[in-house]
Amino acid sequence: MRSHFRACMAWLHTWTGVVFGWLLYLVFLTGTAGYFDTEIDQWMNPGLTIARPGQAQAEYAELALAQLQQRSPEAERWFIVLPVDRNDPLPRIIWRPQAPAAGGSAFLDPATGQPLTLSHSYGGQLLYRMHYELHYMPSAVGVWIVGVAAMGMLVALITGVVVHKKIFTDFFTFRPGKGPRSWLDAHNVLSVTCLPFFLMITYSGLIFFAFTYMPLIAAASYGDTPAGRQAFRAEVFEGGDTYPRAGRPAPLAALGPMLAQAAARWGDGMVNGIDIRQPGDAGARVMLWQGERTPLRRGEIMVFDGVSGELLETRPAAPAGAKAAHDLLLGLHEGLFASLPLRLLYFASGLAGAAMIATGLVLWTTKRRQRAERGGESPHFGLRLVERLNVGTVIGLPIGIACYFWANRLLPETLAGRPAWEAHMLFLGWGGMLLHAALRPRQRLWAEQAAVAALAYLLLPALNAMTSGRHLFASLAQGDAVFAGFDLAMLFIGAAWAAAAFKFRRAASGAQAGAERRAGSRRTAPASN
Amino acid sequence: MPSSAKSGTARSSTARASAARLDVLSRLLAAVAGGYLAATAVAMAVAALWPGPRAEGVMAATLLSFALYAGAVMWAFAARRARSAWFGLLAVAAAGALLARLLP
Repeated sequence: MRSHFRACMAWLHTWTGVVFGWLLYLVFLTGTAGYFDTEIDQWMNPGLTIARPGQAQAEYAELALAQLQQRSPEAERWFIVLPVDRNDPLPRIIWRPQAPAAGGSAFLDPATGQPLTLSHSYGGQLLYRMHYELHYMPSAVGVWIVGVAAMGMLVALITGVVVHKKIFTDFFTFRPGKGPRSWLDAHNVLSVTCLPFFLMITYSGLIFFAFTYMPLIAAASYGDTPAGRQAFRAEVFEGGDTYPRAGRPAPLAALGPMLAQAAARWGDGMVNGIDIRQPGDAGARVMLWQGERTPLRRGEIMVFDGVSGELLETRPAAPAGAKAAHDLLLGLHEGLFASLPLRLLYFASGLAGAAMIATGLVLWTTKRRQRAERGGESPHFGLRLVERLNVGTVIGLPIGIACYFWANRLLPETLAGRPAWEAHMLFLGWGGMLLHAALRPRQRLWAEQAAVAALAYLLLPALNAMTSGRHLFASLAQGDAVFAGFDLAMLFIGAAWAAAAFKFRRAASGAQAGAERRAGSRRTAPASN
Repeated sequence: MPSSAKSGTARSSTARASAARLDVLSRLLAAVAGGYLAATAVAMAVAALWPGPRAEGVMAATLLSFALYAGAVMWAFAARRARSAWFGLLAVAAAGALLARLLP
């Protein structure tokens, strides 16, 4: 029974891995880039002025309010994001009119307070969003596809653990240069060392859209009616509060005194969000969100009467019970609270996840090729397809991301739809590498593509120096952590690909020699066959 | 699946292969659809059984539902026969739905 169960789970692990592997690789890679989303934003928009965190909150609030008033009077909800740390480099306004009109959002130029049209680049946000809503499709469709893949990932992780007989030994086992055995060891080491991170990131990824993926549970308790849905939202996400419209107009109270009260409680410049419900109505509420980043996602919330300006209550930072578990999962996934060392650890763990998926995909092919060659049969179509798709994605996608950065520096400023073209270049670059993988001899694929990846990343700092004039040494001298950090990261990634290229080349020539030796021995001694 | 279609003495290998393929397809459907129903229904029962406010129960049950779904998927592929995977998952779904319906 035990061995039957384990065999079933091994089968399930293999096939969920192969079916979802490439998509999950994309999700892991772009999501990992997302841990440095605002830094990538800045590198890709070198002309942008970044807000100084915690500065001029009252002025930003007034300017934002004027913009919101102009764009969406009588809205159901306004939201103003004020910069307090790296997570929000720019003030931002978000509005949701009364149904059925659609809402929107805009960034504000911290220098002028005027709305910014980001015609230069979507920066790191494009990569970050791609990891949960993909690209070239409506967001809702992408979210569902990624959700299905994440469910596959969860199954692959659990079955992967079940299949393991000696999880502790695998921590310390790596036998390089032994074909499939080495790939299996690499896959195991990567999987086992970061297993808690993978479980957390996969499960919490599902929780972001839990009520979209599993809508029937809430519907069974609250009813599938607009009133039921509203009651559910209020009870689960608003601490039981609803913000009904009174229907009588009343001017919104001044935000200045509220911000002053917040400063007295939290210290200066610590308001991260101004959440305004039913502005301009007699039932208006203003909620100030504390810019305190914790794994539980949120600091305190001060709730004010939106007309009299009176403080009604201060909601505690930590929710209780199941809501706390929910917030903790989301908070750990986003890592907004992480300082630089922890952020780097997040980044490394994300890359390890991508590498775990990549080694798993390669393992699938090396095992089957070895079996085919031992049996003397020609490798079937599926094997050859997966082999080539593996190279074209495992190395092709990182090259595509490098193309995205190259396009950012090379596309003309006047190009219509410039940010969209940057994204097209990502997919053209990736597509080009898939084409390369389809056409070139199999033995050379990995070495050639790794060499391309090495060049694409190693030359980026030079490109940056030529196009932005902010070269690495200048950035280091000025203490510009974002530009210096980006250049150094590209050099590091490029160097890693270069090392991989040399390794792949050696392995390919070794395999070539081995094949010739075997072919030679067959020729000289035909009787042995 | 690792050769669950055995015991066919006179059957050709192609017939065995297509039977195995049907078996996998059936289990896949059982896992995806039956597993979803079972996970949802059990989560509904958990929400109904949860002590404390309604919002807590719904939140806790929704958080758990993905683990339940993963378990259901695994069971669909571990069951001795595809038929028992279907039967088991639908039985669990029915029991969960009944419990959720009767409790509040």
